[in-house]
Amino acid sequence: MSGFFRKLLGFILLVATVGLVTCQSMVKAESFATLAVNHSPFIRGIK
Amino acid sequence: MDRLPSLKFAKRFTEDTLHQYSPRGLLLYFLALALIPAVIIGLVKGHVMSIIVNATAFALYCLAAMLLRRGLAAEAPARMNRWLNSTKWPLKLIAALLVAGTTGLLAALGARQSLPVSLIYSVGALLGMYLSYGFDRPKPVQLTEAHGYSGDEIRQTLAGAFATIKTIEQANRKIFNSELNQRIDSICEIAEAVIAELEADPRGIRRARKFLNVYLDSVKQVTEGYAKTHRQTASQELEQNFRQALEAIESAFQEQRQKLLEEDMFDLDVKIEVLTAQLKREGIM
Repeated sequence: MSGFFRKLLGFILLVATVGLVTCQSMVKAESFATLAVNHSPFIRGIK
Repeated sequence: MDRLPSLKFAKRFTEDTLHQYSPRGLLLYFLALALIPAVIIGLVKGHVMSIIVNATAFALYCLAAMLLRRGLAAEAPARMNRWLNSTKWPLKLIAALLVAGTTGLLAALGARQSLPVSLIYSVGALLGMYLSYGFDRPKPVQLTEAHGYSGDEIRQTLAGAFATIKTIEQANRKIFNSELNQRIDSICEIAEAVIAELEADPRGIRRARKFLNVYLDSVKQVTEGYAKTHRQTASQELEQNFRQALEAIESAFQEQRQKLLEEDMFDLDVKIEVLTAQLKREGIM
């Protein structure tokens, strides 16, 4: 495998794993927090 | 135009500088950026677990990026520092393991993936790190002992000589005269060639020690001295003396290289002594 393709594959793998997992973590943080807020007794009481 | 450094000199300069300011390894910092909004969201919504997981992962990615860049910087450029920058720790491997571990943990705790999927993320990140940056080179150049000098002593001598050459090159960058730049560059190239020959065959180390320790140091002193003084006093006589000294050094170095190959040291020692006396007489040393 030539050096260029090796580095390209490495780049794709890094973006696909680290990039995806950080973005997923951000999305989950948002959704989890929303879930927590929606199910909190205080919010439910207001609703 | 006479004051512009030569293209060859520029190439040697940019080779070192590009290596020093290379953007390689910055990708990890960029990939970790999404964790900043994740931490902020956690803070705004008051979710402690999310804050801890994302902030820790961000810190670990930054640490891995820092280690990776140090590991990359310590790698030997093609021309120099084969011995000087060899690191004690396998920094690139540590960075890769750190990225793999952090990615697996973040997938499990932050992204709430199952254990097998988290493991796949982890292995993928490790493979990505290996393919992108590789792991650390196993060992610096191995040198066998010769003429009573151990491999370490030879390595230290050669590393010291390389450091001196680097200092000469730095001083050369402060001299804005293409002709003198070329001469100094040529002297450095000859010295590097001598070192490369010693690296290939360390048997000549005993004969070359004086050259590497004393004469190369003299060139350093002369070049640094001229680089400091020529700006303050733009004397034609000083420049001419320096030019003559460089010519003499260049020819002596070429001869040195030849003599090293021919294993005839006595004649060369006499010539270098004469050269040193001449430099002192002309007020350059």
